[in-house]
Amino acid sequence: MAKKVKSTVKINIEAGKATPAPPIGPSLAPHGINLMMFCKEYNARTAQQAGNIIPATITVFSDNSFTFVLGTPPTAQLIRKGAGVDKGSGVPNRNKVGKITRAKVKEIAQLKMKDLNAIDIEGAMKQVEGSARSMGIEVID
Amino acid sequence: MQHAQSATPPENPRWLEVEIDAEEELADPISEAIYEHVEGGVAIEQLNDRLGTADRWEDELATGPIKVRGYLPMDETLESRKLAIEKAIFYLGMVRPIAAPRYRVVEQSDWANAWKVAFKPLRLGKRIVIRPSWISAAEFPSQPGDVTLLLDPGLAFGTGLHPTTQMCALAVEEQTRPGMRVLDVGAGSGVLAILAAKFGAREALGVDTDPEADRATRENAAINGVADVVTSRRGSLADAAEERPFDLVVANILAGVIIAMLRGTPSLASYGPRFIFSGILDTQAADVIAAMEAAGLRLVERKLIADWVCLIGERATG
Repeated sequence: MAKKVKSTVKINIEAGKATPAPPIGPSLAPHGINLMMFCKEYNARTAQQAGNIIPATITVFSDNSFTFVLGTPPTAQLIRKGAGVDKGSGVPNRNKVGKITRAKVKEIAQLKMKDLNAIDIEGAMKQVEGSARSMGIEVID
Repeated sequence: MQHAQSATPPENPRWLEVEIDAEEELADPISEAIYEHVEGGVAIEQLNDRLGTADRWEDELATGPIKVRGYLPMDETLESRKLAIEKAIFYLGMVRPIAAPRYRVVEQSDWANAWKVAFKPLRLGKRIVIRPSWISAAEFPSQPGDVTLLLDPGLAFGTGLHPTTQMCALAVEEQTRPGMRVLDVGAGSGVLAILAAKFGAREALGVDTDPEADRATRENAAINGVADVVTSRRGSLADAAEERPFDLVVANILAGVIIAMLRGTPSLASYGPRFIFSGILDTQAADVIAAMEAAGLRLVERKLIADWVCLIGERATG
């Protein structure tokens, strides 16, 4: 019999740092997910990427079994890292908080390509550039 | 496991849950906006409101309302965090309307027990049965020769369901002889130390840096009637240095932690002659074996379930 999908839960947490504390405990336990099993699997599979936010999208089935796939770090985090700033701008059109090179934008676009709905790398770069500008970070050559 | 040594946490910590309804395109921006103000990270939940409508699960999608949730510790930072979240949502809301966040107090006990309903007794290998206390012996009759472990999976690692725990349990069964002294590093729930006691170990010491694990090991040892054999303390391998050598050392943690332990412990081989290592993905096994050899151990057996391995080593002679 086909398994039935009960819900999906996406968790944005830091690689290698899953514990049964919030947000994992309260958001996964009500779905019948074995918390320790999830934490161990997540930590083992993200250990190499410490320091990055690695989203996990968990699909829960009606028999309480689950599978999960790991995503790539959020664009905004990669942009902040690439520009070397801690925070985006609150008023992005007036206060510029940093600069990012087009080469870095391309790197981010390549990494995020599979998660973006862009047909080619140029399209993906445009999306990343747009995100950077909306954070008050200038794109330079 | 990744907790540093810290004060014992309160029995039942409370948190303020922030919940924000989100349209699909806004879920990630909202998550991003509140991420730095909440503890640990953000969860985005979507229920499937058309359960079982597709023929294949691959085609089935959760299409219900999306909720973004974060959690705030109930301490002096609470009000400023709440304010920062409301400000961030207000600005995002200028682009597209977002409903005001909802708040609710949650307690650890709300979720610590929620998934237990799905936990069934489990048979490992031929003889080991792991049974939660809320299922009676009559509901799950044992067979002659069974070694039954009463184990309530709490918030400490090691509930018998994970492939690594399964392999370690079998390895402990194979390696333990009556009268042995066993050390369980990263004891978690204490399952392996207790199992060693059940198989005749004279002494089984569990160490774990997580205070929750220390508590769980003691409780589980008492429930299983082996509190006189199993002892527990907070700490790591080095904290058992005075009691060495052991006949058997078992460490079911993660590859990175095990490699650090193998490299960082002076005269590691003096802790055993026999070692069981698990919590290692197949792709990481070569690195662990290299670290074992550098530490003066010889690989004698390797178990594999799914893509997880369990490595059994022995002090190399000569």
